[in-house]
Amino acid sequence: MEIIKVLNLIKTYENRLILNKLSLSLEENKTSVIVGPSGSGKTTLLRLIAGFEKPDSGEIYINQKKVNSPKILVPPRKRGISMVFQSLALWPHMTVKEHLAFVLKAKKILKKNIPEKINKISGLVGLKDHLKKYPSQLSGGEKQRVAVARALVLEDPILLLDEPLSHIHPKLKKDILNLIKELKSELNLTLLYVTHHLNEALFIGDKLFFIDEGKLTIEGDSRDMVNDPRYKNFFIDVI
Amino acid sequence: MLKKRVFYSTVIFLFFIIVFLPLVLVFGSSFKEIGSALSSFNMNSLKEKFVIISNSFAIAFFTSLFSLIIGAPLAFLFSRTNLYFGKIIKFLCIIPFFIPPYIQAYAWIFILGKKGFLNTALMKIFSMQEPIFTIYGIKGVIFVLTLSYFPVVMFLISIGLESADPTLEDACSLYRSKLGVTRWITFPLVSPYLIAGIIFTFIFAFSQFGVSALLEVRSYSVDLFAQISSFYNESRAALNSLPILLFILFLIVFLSRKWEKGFFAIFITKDRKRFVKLGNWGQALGLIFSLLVIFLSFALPIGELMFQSRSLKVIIAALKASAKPITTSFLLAFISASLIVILSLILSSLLNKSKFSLFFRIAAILPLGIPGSILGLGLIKLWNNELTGFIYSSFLIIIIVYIARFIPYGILALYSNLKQVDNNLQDAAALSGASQFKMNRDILIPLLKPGIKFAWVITFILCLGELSSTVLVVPPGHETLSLRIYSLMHYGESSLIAAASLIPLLLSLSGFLFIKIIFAKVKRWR
Repeated sequence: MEIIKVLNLIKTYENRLILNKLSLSLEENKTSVIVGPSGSGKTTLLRLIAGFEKPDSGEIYINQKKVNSPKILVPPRKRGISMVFQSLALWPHMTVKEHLAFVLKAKKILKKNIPEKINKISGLVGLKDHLKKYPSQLSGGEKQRVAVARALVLEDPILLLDEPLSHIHPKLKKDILNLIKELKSELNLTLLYVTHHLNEALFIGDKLFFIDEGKLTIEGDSRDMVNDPRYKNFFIDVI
Repeated sequence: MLKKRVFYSTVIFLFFIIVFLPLVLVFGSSFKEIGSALSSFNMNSLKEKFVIISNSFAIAFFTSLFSLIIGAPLAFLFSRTNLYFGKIIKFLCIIPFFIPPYIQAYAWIFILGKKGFLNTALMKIFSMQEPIFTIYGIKGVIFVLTLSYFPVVMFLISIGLESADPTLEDACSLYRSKLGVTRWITFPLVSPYLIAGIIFTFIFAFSQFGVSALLEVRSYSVDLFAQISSFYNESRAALNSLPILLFILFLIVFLSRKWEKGFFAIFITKDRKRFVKLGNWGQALGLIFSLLVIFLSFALPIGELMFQSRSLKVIIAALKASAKPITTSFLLAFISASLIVILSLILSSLLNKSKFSLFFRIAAILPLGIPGSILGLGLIKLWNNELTGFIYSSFLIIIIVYIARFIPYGILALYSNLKQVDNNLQDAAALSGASQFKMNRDILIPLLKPGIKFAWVITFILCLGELSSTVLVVPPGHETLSLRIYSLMHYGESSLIAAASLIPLLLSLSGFLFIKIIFAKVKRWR
């Protein structure tokens, strides 16, 4: 079932065309990966889906409801989505526990249920021993886990990930990707993952979308694409 | 290695001699006064001290509060909205800081003094015998100081707003409304800058001397000056200043702890593209508010001084009559600001490496809390002797005064900037085989450019306006412009004083433009 639909999006910044009539649709409970070089418009697309900005033209639907157009902007907090940012965007003045409690309180989760939820998610991502620490006291991998935990603690059905592994060690990358995969199946999530690394995309993605200069160039099921000889040269080019 | 140690030890020794030894001498001698102070203690003297201290606290508290009320919305308008002509208006809002506060006070005497033009007009219109509000008294001091110091609060808060990573707010907007984002993310991120702005304004307002003296308010600094110059009771003056010094020390320790947490990312220059788009009403209100502030803090007082000067001839006459003090002030402020920047650079790099960095930071910024007149006394005690008489009787003593008083600003600015420099950048240069000198010249100094600029401009302006220490130590033949204007204010002709009062603003602006041009031209240091 289609959960996010993007129709003819156009977005410009300071007279530079970032997205050029981009359309795509994402299926529920699948991991869709947007792959493209730097400056291709991947992050802008994610920011529009999250609701941080309005497009110049075009529309975005989430669960068949129009949430974004030049005239409509449903605020991010009312879209039922979570996001892991490229910079992780951890709040420097809050401990790990405060990050999770803050998000839960914002969604008016009953006070008595908050400790249980924090316990559950910190157990899942392996942060139980770090709850009292501030971001500056954590390692790169631990910070990554906090960002993932914050995004998942509400169990929103859609999770956007904007190049979340761009700054961490390759060894840790695999651990985090496995963790995201596990959490996805455990919590029944729809993931939209943005990266410019094809190996990451192939490892995690069910469906791949290649974009370049703000346009969708190729899309398809990741396994089919890998096995399809027509895409062989394309992958070699991308790699 | 040995050379380096000798070099750093010399700088620390110099810092100790210039900044701390005078204080040790002056406070050391004050302890012998404890006995006589206790014996002369009575209800009347207590009451008198209470009035003086409460006046000073009221001035400092309300100046900080009103500076915040004016500075915070302006900072938001300039940093977070698409206000029309925002950059020009922001620059005009900073200019009041270039005008020494006592000159601002003097200009307002012409406007809201007992015979000020506004009061005269209002009394005529409403047929009153007495004006409703005169600039004299505590309210007037608070009003003038707010107009002088709100740029400090505005400047610091706008740095906080500009340097806060916008994705931190985006992340919060997934869960909270705009108001919630402001309350839970923006405010905590900006609060260290806001607190710093309030504390600086508080200290400035508490220790200022010229405005209170001109507007006839008995404040702590005026009282200290009176103890020294009228009663020649230096030790008692130093003793009296101790409790206040401890209070200021407490504020500085508080500030240093915030600093310790690494909140002061003063010189991050982020290209923030996400602005709040103001509608027509927002633009109109924003423009009215900021233009009103510019009118009151800059256009009206400076316009009035120009009007009082009567003609260009008088301004030229004032320039001619003050030619020597102008040259002296400009050169001494120029040399002192440059020396402060060099010393601050060295001391900041030491602070950055030191194990006792918190202790040293507090020591480095402690002089912020020392009243100018007490520092002046200490300098007299230290330098006025046969051995160092040649320094005391020359312009060097004024340079020492400026360095001792204003080096904390240089250290604050450059240490914050240094904290932002990624160590990897220097390591990468070292790996490429660059010498320490080349590394400093090609990597470190260019990265510290914003801090150097800020430190130089702010200390240059403060040196130009310094009064309370200089008045005690100035040697014959080296009168500064501030002193000349201040004495003219008591004995001179009003049109000449008004004309002379315009000169410090011109000098400050010329210093500001000078550093801008220098940095624009020297883009490459090689």
